[in-house]
Amino acid sequence: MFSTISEEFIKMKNNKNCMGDEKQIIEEKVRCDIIVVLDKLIIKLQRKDINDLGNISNEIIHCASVFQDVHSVSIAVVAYALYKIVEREDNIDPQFITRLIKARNYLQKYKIERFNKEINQLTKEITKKDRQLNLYIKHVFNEAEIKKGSKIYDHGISLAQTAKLLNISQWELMKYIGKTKVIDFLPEKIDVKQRLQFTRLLFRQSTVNNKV
Amino acid sequence: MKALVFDSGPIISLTINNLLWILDPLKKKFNGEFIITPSVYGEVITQPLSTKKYKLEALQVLPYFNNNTLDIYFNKSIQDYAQYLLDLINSCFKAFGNNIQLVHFAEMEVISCAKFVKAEAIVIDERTTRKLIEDPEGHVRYLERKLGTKITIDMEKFQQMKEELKNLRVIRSIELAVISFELGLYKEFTDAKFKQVDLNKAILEGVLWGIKLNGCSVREDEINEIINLELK
Repeated sequence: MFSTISEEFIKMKNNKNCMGDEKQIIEEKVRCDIIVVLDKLIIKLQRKDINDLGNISNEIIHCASVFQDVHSVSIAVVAYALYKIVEREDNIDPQFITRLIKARNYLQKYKIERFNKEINQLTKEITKKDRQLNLYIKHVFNEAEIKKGSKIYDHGISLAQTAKLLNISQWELMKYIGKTKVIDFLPEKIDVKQRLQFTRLLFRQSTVNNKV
Repeated sequence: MKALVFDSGPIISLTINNLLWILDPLKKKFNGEFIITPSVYGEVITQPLSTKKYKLEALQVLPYFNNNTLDIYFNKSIQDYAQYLLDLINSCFKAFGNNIQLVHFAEMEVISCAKFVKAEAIVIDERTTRKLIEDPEGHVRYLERKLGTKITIDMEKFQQMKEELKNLRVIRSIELAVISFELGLYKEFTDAKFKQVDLNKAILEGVLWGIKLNGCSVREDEINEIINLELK
């Protein structure tokens, strides 16, 4: 049986705490990391250099996991989506690169609102660019969100928190995570035998008695 | 109350694997309640019903509420305590001077509910909440390795978190699947005439791998060990 509710909770409840001071400004570390990622992304896209382009988005995942801010999450998703487009089309609209450069410069000058506008505009332009591509682009963005979500989960953030951060469903995220190696390198303190023994107790199964 | 409190993960995992039906016989055998919280209901029913994706899956879960296999448990104290746990845990660990928001309200509601109803265990497939209950120090080491930075721990809050989470027992959908196997619930999959493969092994492997591949936090070597233990 579980322990009962602690006195500490009762005290806190009576004290009525408050949470959720929403940040209006960007964290300095997030800003610097995004600039580094954007620089790399811009150079790779200008050179149409696909090597390691897919990994650039992962470089911002530390930040996205710790700060869980909309900026690093959206850059991770946009970077991955651009990589997928270049991979498929072998080309990139120069306008996208111009937007990235503008966004980078705004961020450099601490113009966060304008940076956000540029990234939002870029996302819209990518999505609207080609009607034929539209469905594929939607798929790419969805895939990017799930893929970046699995990375954040891999960094130790819970499933529900990760899903909330990327505004995706746990159904999608679980299905994707299951196909990765995220779980396979996690040390376990409780071994399988102990777990099964406890579960058998719950269901009054003293021993393995009946196979199929 | 004799109860198991379910997070959304195991419901999702069992649904995707077409194994939700094991809940009925398991509940009978358990002789207690299978409970979910309002947030979990939102994730497995309300949210997917409002989108195209996973609508059908949500419709498969819905009858399990209608026939009371799964019950929603709710009160204000559970929500207040869940919020307290959320604030406590999400202010325990810092990286780059920032509190890491490790967990979500929905997961804390599962723990809170389990403590209020004095449940036997929580059923959860996701890794972070389970690790915070079973091995919080290990999870800190994992965070440090993954984030590549030192994690600063508020020791007072950390001790308080351990105090709040102590004695909680956790099982995963994988354990429910194994118990179902031991109870002979997969008998309908057998075909006496089919001799090409060892069906006993195939069924166990199929079920366990299906659950793992749909997101349950179980390692490959754990699955292999379970198969060896069950079939020896």
